[in-house]
Amino acid sequence: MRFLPEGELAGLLAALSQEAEVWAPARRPNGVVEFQKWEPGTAVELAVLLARQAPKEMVFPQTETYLGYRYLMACPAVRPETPEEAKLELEGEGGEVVAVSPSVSHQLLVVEDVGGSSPTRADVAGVELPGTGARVIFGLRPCDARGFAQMDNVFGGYGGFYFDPYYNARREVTTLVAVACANPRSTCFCRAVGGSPSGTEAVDLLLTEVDGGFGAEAVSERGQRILDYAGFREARAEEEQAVAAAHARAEEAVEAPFELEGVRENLRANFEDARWHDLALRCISCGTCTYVCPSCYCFNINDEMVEGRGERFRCWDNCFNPGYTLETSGHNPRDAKAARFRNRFSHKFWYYPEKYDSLLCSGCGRCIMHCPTRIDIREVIRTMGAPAAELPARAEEE
Amino acid sequence: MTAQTETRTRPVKVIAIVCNWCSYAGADGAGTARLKQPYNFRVLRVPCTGRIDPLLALKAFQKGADGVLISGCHPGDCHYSEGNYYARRKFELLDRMLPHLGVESQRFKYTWVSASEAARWQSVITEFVGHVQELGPREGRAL
Amino acid sequence: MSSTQDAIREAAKNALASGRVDYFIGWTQGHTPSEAIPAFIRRPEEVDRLIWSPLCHHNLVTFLKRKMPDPPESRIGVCVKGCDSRTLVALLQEGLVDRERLYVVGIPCAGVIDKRLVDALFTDEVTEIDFEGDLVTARTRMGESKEFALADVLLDQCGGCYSPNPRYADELVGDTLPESQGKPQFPGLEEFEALDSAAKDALLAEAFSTCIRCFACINVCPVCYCWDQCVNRSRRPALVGQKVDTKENTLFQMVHMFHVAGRCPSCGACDRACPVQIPLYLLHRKMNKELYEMLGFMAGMDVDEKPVFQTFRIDDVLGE
Repeated sequence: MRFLPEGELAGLLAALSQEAEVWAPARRPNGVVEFQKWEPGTAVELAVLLARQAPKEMVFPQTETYLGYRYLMACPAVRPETPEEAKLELEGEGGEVVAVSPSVSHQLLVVEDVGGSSPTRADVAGVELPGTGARVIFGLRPCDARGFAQMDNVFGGYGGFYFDPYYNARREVTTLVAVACANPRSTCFCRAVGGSPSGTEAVDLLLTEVDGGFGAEAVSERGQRILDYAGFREARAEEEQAVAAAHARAEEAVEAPFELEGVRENLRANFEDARWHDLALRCISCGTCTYVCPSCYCFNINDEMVEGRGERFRCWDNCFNPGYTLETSGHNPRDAKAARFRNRFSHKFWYYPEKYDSLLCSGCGRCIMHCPTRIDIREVIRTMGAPAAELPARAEEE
Repeated sequence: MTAQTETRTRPVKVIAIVCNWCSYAGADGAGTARLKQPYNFRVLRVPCTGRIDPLLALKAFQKGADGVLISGCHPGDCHYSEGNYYARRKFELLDRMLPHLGVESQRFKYTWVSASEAARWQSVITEFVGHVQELGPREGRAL
Repeated sequence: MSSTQDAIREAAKNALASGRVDYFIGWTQGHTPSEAIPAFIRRPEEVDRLIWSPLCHHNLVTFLKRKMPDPPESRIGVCVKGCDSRTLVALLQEGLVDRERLYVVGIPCAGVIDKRLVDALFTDEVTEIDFEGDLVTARTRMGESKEFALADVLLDQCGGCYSPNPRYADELVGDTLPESQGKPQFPGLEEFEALDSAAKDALLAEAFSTCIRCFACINVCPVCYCWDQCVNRSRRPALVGQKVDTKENTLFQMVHMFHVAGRCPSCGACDRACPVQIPLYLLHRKMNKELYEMLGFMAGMDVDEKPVFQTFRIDDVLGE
């Protein structure tokens, strides 16, 4: 094990920031701790266990532009008669024609370069730290890192599914330097979902805060390379013991509020159960839980235009949004609040596990902390993930 | 000319949202009578000022308008009897709030111009656009 | 305080046992004793879960608005504090909730605490808050403990509360508090008002740049009731952009502010729900102050009054 004395931290971050963008939890002017770009002088905030939002935005921005376009002709009187004519006219514009229809002039689109063409797997392969666009996320927690692993399944082409070039272009150049949790919160439940306050899934380098500095263990080759930076020294025996003790203490402090055994099957069996409605009464159907979640990954694609110029972009979406399931006919199969509510938990503990053979929850507890009415995912899984025979009685059934 | 001075001196864009029955007719009359008016305002015609959601004015500012003028029938003269009375309360609140939302108060105005007041329309719009031009274009604001 | 709590339980028990309501909404303890959360009670023997303390900040009127009751035609018992009752009155004025389906238990309220102020006193997680008269004791998970005066951690709006007693209730529990005298207070605005236009813009831009568009402010708002039809969600017409950036976020918040004008009594539910702590109170309270100065209007004071933007006076002294 290597050791980073406390005084060397700023030096390490400075050295890393020479070669990559370093993001670390820091306080905003209003006191909220969020991942921010580290610059010399930025105070890294590790005393607060969890940053307001998981750092998923680093690889999956809330808004991402796919392409820009503009209307070439607004006036039918001057529209070209044939596609060939239209193409001639466009060649002078230096854009690429993506759709030409002589009958509808507003389908003449010019695609503009909005900062690089979309990357493919070939483009993102082999991009490593240090390198252009490289990023180090420092000070995230093991549960945050697990969120990345869970999103990787979706965007990374798991089992031959879709490979997302946007996500992977960032993901491939991102190094995760996690700091193990010293004082888990009452809302933490990583152990219940197979994680640990000192877990290393998706982590490149794991630091553990002990007296005088950080114990450092490389998990990947990338992490190993960070250990070569100045400041690290070999850990002494008592420091190694302190690290082990800190891990054990934190492990102890995290409760395991439910058993995973059978949850998937029981959720399926309880799908139509009326208790979903009882649990959802408290839900106000906003999307806070999904946006602060390290692994919720749903998005929507939009076109928006002002004065003939537009962009196609994707932005985060969530299952509480009415547009999430709204059909073009106007019918919404998930009209009731309880149905939207049920989807979030079923997705995390049933649909996703069925497809990717892992959970879509890392137990960080942000959804409990930030829910305006403190809806507790542990309570929901405890209740709806139990065998139907063990569900609590309801008033009407007596 | 640097980009900055260009920005400061470009003609401002003003949106005028007017009701069909009075102010639009008044503005139309001003045009028919060849009264000289600023060229850099655009008219949006709506059935009644009572229909105008403050959101329309905010949206105009957000999308790059430098000034928004709202005009309808004089109180008491509404084509629908009372639409402009409701409008008056809404726009008074908007007028009072805008300075706190980062929009200078001279950039927004609500007023009344009747169908026969072509000359009044000319003076209202000329004066309003003049004030907005003095403040210059709005750039880099949140709203 | 505990006598009020007993009275709430009693009222809930009676309403449920008599079949007057299908379920009763009050407050109960959250996952730690430092939190109160909304509770939905269906059986008389569960009423002992209900609590009353200065932690009970949630405005339960939220759960009466359209699409919230489940099933939709439920008869509901609900607890309201002074400010909560004004949001209920605002809904009643517009005929948006059915009075016949409600049983309203009114609670005179001397103020609820701002948990964010308590949290700010510690780095560790606050897991326990106790009240002893005017003294508050907070303890953290690691065992750190601090004592302070209740008045120091009340929501700032509670200090000069204009309507501590419910404006509408079927049953009143607890002792009525002295009604406020004189003009309503709009605290916390002086600093903001003194800024110039550019500085105000900069302040709002910084605040809104962090907005994640989670809709917590809008959905938690008891008087913001368009639900799925919210213009902020509409894609046709696409009035508010779906891109999450400062400009669109600002318009998003303006929509909420102007659409609750005349109904919003500054209960602060939006402000407390915001996960990124945008000072939403600034806008809403400022707007209410302007409305008061403009027409002497305060939202939700009287069930028989017309909402300010659904009526007019020919002699309104406004504008030109």
